[in-house]
Amino acid sequence: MREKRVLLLVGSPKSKRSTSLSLGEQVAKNLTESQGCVIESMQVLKTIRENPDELIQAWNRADAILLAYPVYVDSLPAHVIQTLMTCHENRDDTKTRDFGVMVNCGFPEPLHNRHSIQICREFARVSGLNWRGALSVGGGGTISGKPLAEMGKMASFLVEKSKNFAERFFNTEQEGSTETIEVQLAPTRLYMILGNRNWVQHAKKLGTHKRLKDKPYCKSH
Amino acid sequence: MKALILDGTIDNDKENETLKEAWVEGLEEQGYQVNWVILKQEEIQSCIGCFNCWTKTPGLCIYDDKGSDLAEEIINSQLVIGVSPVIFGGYSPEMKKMLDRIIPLLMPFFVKKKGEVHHSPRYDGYPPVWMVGISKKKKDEGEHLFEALAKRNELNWHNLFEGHIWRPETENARDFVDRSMKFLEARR
Repeated sequence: MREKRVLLLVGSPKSKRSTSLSLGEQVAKNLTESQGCVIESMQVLKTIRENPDELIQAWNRADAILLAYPVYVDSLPAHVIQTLMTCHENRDDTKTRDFGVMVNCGFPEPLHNRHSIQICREFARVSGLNWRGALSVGGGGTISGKPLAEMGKMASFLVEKSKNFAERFFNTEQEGSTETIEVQLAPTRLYMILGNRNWVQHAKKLGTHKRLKDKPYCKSH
Repeated sequence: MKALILDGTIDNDKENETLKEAWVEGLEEQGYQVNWVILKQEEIQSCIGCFNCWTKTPGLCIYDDKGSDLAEEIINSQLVIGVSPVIFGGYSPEMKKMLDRIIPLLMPFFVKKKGEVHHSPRYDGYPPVWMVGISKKKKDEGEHLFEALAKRNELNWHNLFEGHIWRPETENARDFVDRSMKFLEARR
């Protein structure tokens, strides 16, 4: 049987390493090792701007699409929505494809990702893709683009869940195989305390900590 | 009183024009000074998630473009109306690009709100937002998601943020606007 060709789309706008890339790489590695998949990877923002045709061709030759993205304002970032629209409008619908997502947010609770996952699921329905579920991560700030394998104990639970997500991806027989796997990387209160402290420390390094609460647009309010 | 209308439509069809006329008329009758901005005609950079607006230049995006001008106009308006087609249950890329650029209006700090973690407000007040989803189909899952998305946005916006579907085939634009204004008045 021919190996499955998987297109990994990384939806973070960051040009360097991102949490979306870390999650995408981990799941892609698992798919290659356990199921012999061939992975083609693309950074969405760069490709949709510079070479949308390349993206459409990769979409149409793929057996499955994995989308890794950060949640922006409760939904997908604008350029990711644009990408999904472009691929939907130019899809070759003579072939069935699988579609799953890996999503992370800067809030500690993965519940903030749920609405964007529903949008992705609706996209899959409208575009005739087989929905294969989501890996949903809360507290993406703790990863900050580090490869998960290098994070040791802190990410071991997530590494395990990534493996589960990859193993069930093509297994349509498995019960619950399209349900979302949610992972919270740190306790809520701890994440809030450390997160709030980090913003101040970062601003201190920049010499802007006394201006953090500025209201530059303040007129009527 | 200022009302800002963010037009995130994609097509130049007759329904959009009818809706525009109805909103401008309805708002002006209520004493609003209306600014209608067609987002697809503006140069607005995508948010790149750098968070400089929270640390390096607090409250200001590093892009000095129309996106920043509109963020300033949003916070100094008394009402914001968004207009967008329903795209897979969410907003159009044009509308979402603008919404992604409003994070300088919030603070980086985490607070608990309704049992969930959210960002604290930067300003003392935020204008109510009325997001109109234009749907030319029968009611489907996408419309339900659109309205629910606005409800999620409300938690981060610290004021009313409502999504409502307008079906040009079944409701006159002016009737929709009047219905919306009544709802906004009741929630004021």
